[in-house]
Amino acid sequence: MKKLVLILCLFIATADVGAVGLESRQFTPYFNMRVGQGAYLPNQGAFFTGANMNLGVGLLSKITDKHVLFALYNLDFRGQAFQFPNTQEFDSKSQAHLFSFEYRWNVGDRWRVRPSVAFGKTYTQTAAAEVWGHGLYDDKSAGLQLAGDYTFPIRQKDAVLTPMISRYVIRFPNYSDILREFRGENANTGLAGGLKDQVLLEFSLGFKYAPWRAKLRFNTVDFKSERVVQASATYGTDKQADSNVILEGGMDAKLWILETSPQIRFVTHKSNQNFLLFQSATDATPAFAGNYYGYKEVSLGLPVFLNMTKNWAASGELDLQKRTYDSRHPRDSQNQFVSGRQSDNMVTLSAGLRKRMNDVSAFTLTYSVTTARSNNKFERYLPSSYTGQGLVLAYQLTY
Amino acid sequence: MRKFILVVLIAAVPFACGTVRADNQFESFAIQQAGKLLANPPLFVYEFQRNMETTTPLPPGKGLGVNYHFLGGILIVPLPDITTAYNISAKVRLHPEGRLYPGLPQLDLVAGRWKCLPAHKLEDSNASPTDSQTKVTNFDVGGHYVAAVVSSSLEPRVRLFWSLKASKLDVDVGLNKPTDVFGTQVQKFRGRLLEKTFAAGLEHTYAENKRWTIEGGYGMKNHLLSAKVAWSGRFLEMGFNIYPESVFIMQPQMNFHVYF
Repeated sequence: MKKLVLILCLFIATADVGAVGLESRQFTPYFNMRVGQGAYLPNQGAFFTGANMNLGVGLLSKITDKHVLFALYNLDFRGQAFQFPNTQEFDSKSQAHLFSFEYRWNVGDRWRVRPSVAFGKTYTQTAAAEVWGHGLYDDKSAGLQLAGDYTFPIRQKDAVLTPMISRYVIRFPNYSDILREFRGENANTGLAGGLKDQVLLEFSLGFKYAPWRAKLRFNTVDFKSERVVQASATYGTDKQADSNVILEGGMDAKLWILETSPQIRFVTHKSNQNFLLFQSATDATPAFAGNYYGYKEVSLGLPVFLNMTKNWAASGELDLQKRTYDSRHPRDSQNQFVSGRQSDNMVTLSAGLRKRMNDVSAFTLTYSVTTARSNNKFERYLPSSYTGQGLVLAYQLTY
Repeated sequence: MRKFILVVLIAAVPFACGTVRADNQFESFAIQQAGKLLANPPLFVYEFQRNMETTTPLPPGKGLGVNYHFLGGILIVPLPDITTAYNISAKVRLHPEGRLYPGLPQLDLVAGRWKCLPAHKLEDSNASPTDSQTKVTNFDVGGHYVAAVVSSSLEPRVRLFWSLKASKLDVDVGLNKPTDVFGTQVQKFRGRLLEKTFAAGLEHTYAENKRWTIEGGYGMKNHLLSAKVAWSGRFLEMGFNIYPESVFIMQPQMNFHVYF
């Protein structure tokens, strides 16, 4: 009900004032939508289809030259698709709803300060039997953010430096540790909800100097209840704490009829959580694996568009993603740890066509071949090594 | 556009050729999709209703509109569907943009209903519980909806529109005697689906009486997602409804409309 009220408030507020824009441009609506449908054929498992959809509607209200309000609703649906090895099933789905309200204040000639508040709700389906609203990993989030944009000249061109701090409280109302429930441990400690609740604190520094862009992010994820599992197969007193350092950069370039927007990303993920490898639900001597979740990852995206005519373009893209775990050993096909460190890779090669319908919308058709490889040979639950091909038809409109 | 559709069809050929030896994969896919369909029949039927529902605003200067959903369907080719025989939607403009004061958006009310007339043909009025065969004694499928649509101009030829829609679907099936359906004895099946959908879209008029629209919607009660990309002429509308979670994701449609 609260969600309905919130949507109605946004609906009424923006509908009422949105129309004034034509005369005064005091209000500027924002609309972005992308829908895509894909067919996927992995070399193992069943053929499947999936779709994705992203809808963003917002309103920018210019109170004065220095004071602006921006309200945004974003709906992001991610359906079935190929996934990075050992992370999710192909059938996994999610839909996320995010409301954000940002105040933009121009301070002097150089600074723009942007405090904002955001609320979100994510529904997940990690298995075919789950229904929306009852997913194990459903979450609700609420948070505050403070960002600033500092504009300064470099060689007579504007550069923008953007420091940002944000804090989000994320709750997982449906999450439960099935093994602990099965064993009857901590029966009165609220396992049926709240175990995965966490606080996300992030600092970032962005830099834009056309055509270049870069961003450095650091965040910590402190779990409110989840504790660290010990080698003795019991939970200790320390609570789980994760952190991420993310460095990403990219640029846009155009040469003759060629366009490209390469981007690269490095991630270092740390976690104090360990792992117990059970061979069955009644296994009394599980294998202990310390520092199981820490990894380093690099990903690269290299799209190229060849503008054949004003409205038609051919495209090609290479996507690489490689993750190497700090301490996690790979497993053999019998679910036993073997020596070495687990390493997962995914390479996607795509070729396609883009047809512009007008200045703001386009259809794209993309054929891709995905190759995922992992030295983890145990893949009863999650896809590990596979090859697949996909055909995706998408429509995008941004206004 | 025709060229693009041709390209899509051509591109699908090598993809299909690569899959000819994957009979088991497609069989598995078909079984999985059939399971989704049987798990919630009203939800599946509701897609036909969603195809006939319309929440685009009346063109500027028009005060009344009538819409008839002609072809739809779950396959890539538009075909008559269960709503075709009897469906009608009406739109009335309550407030033209800027009439009461400059900038106040256009407000339209929309209402429509449909009924599956061929369903009654399956009924057997002489059926009795003692018959050896299972017979249908009543078969009633239909629904209706009402919506409010608010639209405002962003540029002379571009309008942003929002809508809030309430839909109701009823499925009522009766058999002459209890029948085993997947291990359960069933003689009556009554299903009802209620939904409230919030949608937003953009309309781009590129020539007289010719428009492109794109619309995204979210059913708040059942978490139903939908999108629609359509071309609209003076009397005809053609497009695709996209249901990301459906058994049949992309559903073509053809509608007729008259505006006064």
